[in-house]
Amino acid sequence: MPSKKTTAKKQNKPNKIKTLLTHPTCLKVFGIAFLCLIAWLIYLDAQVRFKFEGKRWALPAEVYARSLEIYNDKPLNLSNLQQELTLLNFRKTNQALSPGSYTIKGNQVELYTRKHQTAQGVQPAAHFRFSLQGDVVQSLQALDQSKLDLYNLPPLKIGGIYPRIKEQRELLPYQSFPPELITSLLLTEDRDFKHHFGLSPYSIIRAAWANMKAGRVVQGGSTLTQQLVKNFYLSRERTWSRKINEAFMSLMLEAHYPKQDILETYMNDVFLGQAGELAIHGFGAASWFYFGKEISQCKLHEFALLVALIKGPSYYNPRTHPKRALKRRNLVLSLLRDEEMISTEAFNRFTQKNLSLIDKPKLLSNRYPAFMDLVRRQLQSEYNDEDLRTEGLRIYTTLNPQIQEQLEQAVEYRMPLLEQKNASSEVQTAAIVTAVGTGEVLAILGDKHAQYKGFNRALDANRPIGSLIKPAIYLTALMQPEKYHLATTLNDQAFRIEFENGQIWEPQNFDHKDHGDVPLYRALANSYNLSSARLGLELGIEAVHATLKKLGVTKKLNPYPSLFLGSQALTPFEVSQLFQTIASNGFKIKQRAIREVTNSQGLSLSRYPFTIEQEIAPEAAYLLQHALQEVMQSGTGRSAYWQLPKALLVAGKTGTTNENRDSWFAGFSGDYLAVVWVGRDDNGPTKLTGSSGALRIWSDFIKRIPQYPISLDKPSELEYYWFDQVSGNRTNEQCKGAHQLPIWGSADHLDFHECNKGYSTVRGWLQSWF
Amino acid sequence: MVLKCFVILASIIFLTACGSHAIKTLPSVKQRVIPVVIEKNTAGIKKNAEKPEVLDYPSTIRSPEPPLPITRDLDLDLPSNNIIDTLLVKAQKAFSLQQWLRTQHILEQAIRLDPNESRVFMLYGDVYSEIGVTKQAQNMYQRALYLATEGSEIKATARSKLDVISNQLSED
Repeated sequence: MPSKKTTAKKQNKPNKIKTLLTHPTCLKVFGIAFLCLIAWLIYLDAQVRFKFEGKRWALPAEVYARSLEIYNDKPLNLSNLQQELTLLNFRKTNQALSPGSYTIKGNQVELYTRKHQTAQGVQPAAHFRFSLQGDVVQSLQALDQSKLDLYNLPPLKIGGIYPRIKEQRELLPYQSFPPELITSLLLTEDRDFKHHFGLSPYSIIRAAWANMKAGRVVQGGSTLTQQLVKNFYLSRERTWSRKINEAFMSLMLEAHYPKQDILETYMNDVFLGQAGELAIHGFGAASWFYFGKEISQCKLHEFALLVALIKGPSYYNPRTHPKRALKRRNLVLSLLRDEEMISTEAFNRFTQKNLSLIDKPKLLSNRYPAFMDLVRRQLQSEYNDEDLRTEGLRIYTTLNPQIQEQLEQAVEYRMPLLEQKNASSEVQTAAIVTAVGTGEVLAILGDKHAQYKGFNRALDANRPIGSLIKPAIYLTALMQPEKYHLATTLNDQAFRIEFENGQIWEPQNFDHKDHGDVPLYRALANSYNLSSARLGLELGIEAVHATLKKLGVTKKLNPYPSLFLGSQALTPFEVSQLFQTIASNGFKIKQRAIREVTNSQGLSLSRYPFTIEQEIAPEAAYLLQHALQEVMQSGTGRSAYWQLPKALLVAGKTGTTNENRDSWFAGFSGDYLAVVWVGRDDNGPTKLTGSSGALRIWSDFIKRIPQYPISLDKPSELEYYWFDQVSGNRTNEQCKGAHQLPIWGSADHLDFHECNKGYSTVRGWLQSWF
Repeated sequence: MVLKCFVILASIIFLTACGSHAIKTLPSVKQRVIPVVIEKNTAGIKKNAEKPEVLDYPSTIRSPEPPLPITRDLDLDLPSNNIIDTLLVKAQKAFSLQQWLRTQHILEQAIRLDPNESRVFMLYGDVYSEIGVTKQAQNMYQRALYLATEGSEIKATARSKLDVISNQLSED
């Protein structure tokens, strides 16, 4: 029997606790703690609402190549088309019955495209066919009775400008997620999602019990809401404070927002894989990453795999651990069967299927680093860096993946041969290709290794341009038709200039010879230094500067006579702009790499329209183009025709600097302008001239792409006359060596000489009698 | 009352603590997004002060226009199968509806397909003329003049429009 004292003690204990709890100090402590808790909850609530109602994710800017346009008479090569469709994740099938598939039977192509966004708006899915006859599109017709004149294929995504923490995500609204995916997700990750209030005590107790029984962690008790809170707001650290915050924030999230919003956010946020430095988030991006198609086109076994990955994207990575992934996927399928969501027969059918992954991820980091560099530079002058990285902008560029591919292949083929010739692997290259008519940059290489992401020589290698300056000198002359024409005799004899400071400038020809009197067009075709320098001095440095500026050179120009032999340093990009104006008949077309920038909803933010400005008289530009064609026909560029068909009229100019430190070539056909530089980064000498180095790469590239020759419409002010190739005098058509040249204005004042060296044919001799 | 609050709090902590030992997903290499709050509205995207050589259009062409239905257009009776003719008809239609941006899109597509078609440059000049970008209109007419065949109607029209613009510019 308990003693009285003990009973009294027991009776006193609650009183003591009560006294302690009701003690003013204790009450104050509780009061302060309670206020702190309230303040903390208010803070958490603000955090939850701030992010959920603001911008939820940092969305990278997406960069797209040009759309391939399909229309009747479009020149299109079947293998190029297939290559493009493969890059766009189109499936080759026996019958194109679903979006994203195509069929090729003989020369008949049938395409079923997906709905997609372009700079002009949303392009609906289209089902159409056409034939390819002699590499030309014919009989384009839609298969749903509608009229189809032209179709823009989806533009290829070529890269992105990513947030500092690199994530790939494709935001999709709730309605875009197929119900089968949602069912699989909820069944596997959170069966009670529709009913709980953010936390699921039942799940927690069940998980705790299972874990205690197993003696290790075998089951989780977090709801989807908790998982979202953890990933979205908090860190992954396993601490009490994080768990407590997670619990409160989950309750708040559920209290503020409908289940559908929470689930949509989860499905766009969940981490599902890693592609190099890029983290793949959300089912939208993951379906492209693993299956190369949009989520709405995935099948049940593919949904099951995506859901299976949530547990551990690295551990269950289907590319590195296919067996684990398959097992886990089948487990998800078995849950569906157990809950009678699918029949046993369907379960058996789906578990038999393989993982159906695409060969390699298609939405990885930037494929074309040199081009992306150009795009980024252009954008950075207009947009805040943070906006570029986080606002989900869509950037539509001018890159032509087919041209880029051909350029890369040409360099890949030729560079080892040039290195061998030069007995050094230190030789580097850079190249740029633009469309003659529009100035759009179609391809760029900043290094001999196309994937190299470092120094971009196409944009940054400032190198003396050598004889590439000469077209500007000759153009300056040809712009003065009263004084100069293509047959004007120039003096190609040695000379020296002594400057006031005692320095002596004594230029030389490449062959160290004088060539006496030569017609102007031959001096350019053979790239004679002496006659060019003399001409430059005659015209004056300021006049040549003015021409260079008209052609599009914005850099500060060298004020010394050495400018006439190409001591001026320019980048390949700047050289390309210079030749763009020449190729466009004297109209300056600003080179551009971006067509349009839209926001993530497709609303246009910036356009980069086609701009054109007449800078040079078309007559003078025509004369220069004629002379540059001579360079290719019979001058320093003639070796190009070892590879090119004679029918392809091209114009261009070689450039070589002292001790062969730089090898340049700039040339164009009717469609494309390409500039190539070859040299060493340390500015060391090479064994390559413009002809034996850069021109080889240029020819290798040009011969690979179908294109039209230069087709010049002669301005009405010009007339063709016959000239003697050696003396430069007007002569008869029948004379030996007679050469037809265009003359701006009247040629009546030009000296006319009968044949000096006989007649070219017997017929010519006979004609001279009458 | 305080005791009740304490008990509720303690139970929540206990329950969540149980869950903390049962984290379902395996550790992974996922990195957190650093939240950067920028207005959802696109107007919030700030451009740097030094605006480059992008043409400054009147505000009217910034207004959203319908997407370009180049693919299917049933209501047009097209005169020929030539794609440039087709695009010109569509551009003309958009021009007559004063859909400048849409007209530009179509014309630029036409220039990409055939940069030597004088009619395209004429219409492009008309667009610039309508929206008051006279210098660009002049450039486009000059290109049209250069490309048009000698003695053609386009050549004559381009010449007369260039004369009008020259007069305008000299008066300014």
